[in-house]
Amino acid sequence: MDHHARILSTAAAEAVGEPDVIARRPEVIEMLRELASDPELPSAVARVVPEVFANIRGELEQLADELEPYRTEPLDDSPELVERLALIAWALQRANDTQATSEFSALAHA
Amino acid sequence: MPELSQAEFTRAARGAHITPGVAPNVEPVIMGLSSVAHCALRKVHRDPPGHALVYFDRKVAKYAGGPAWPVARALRKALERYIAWDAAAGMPPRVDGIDVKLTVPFGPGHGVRAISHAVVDDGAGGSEARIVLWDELRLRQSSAEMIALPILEAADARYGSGSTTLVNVWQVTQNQPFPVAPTHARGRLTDIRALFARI
Repeated sequence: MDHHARILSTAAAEAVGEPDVIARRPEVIEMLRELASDPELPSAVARVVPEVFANIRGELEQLADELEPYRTEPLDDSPELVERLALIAWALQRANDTQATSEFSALAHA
Repeated sequence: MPELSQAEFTRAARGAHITPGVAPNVEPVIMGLSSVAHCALRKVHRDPPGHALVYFDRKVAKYAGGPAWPVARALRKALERYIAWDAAAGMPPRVDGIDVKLTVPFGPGHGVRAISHAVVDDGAGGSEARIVLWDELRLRQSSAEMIALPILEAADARYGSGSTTLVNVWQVTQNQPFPVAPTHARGRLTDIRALFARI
């Protein structure tokens, strides 16, 4: 999940100024779909950011679908998609950081 | 091997520390607002006058009164400044290109994904290429000249070698327009190569 969070964060940051981001990084769409089918993801994200996504799986699938046209078209008039991508990356990063902290804590007390 | 995004390059050229390919720690809402600003800028040239500000206001209305509102207001002021500078340039309204992009190499494995946000007719048979900076990092003439070089190369590659007669580096959040002559931009090649060597 850490790898996905980093790629999605970078893609979101690039999307602000580079309209060809999805054309350059089509793996973003596959990653969103992959995450949507991860059975552990909804609970991992809900634990740390329950206020953000009531239905993270649905949001991931929907965003992947909405980004599809931008494999070939510039993402130059859809700031909402950029923000949603950034929000997902941020939520994944937080979930990942929390998991890492928990694992460290468990090791420290073992 | 760093291939830098334009955002990374423009920050590094002004002395900021960057890690290529790693996103800066920015709140999602700020990314959304910045994206709205970029989209509105395109509309300055694509749509009838006044539409860009209407578009911006409509897109940011949901943030009114919230913690991100001051950022939205600052970006609107910056957009207004771009529109004013564009009008003051007094050039014909013809826009040759929006988001004119080229990955410009600066030595083996080094490059910048340059994007000229607008290339406009200079009224004398040539073109003026613009790059708009929305952040608040301090911009000096020397760094503006470095930032201008990949923009110059991108515009010249699209419209013909030597066609670009001026690169305008406009930091719209700081009231800082830096016009850069092509010769001054080309004079910064060594500085850019040195910058890549440090990253």
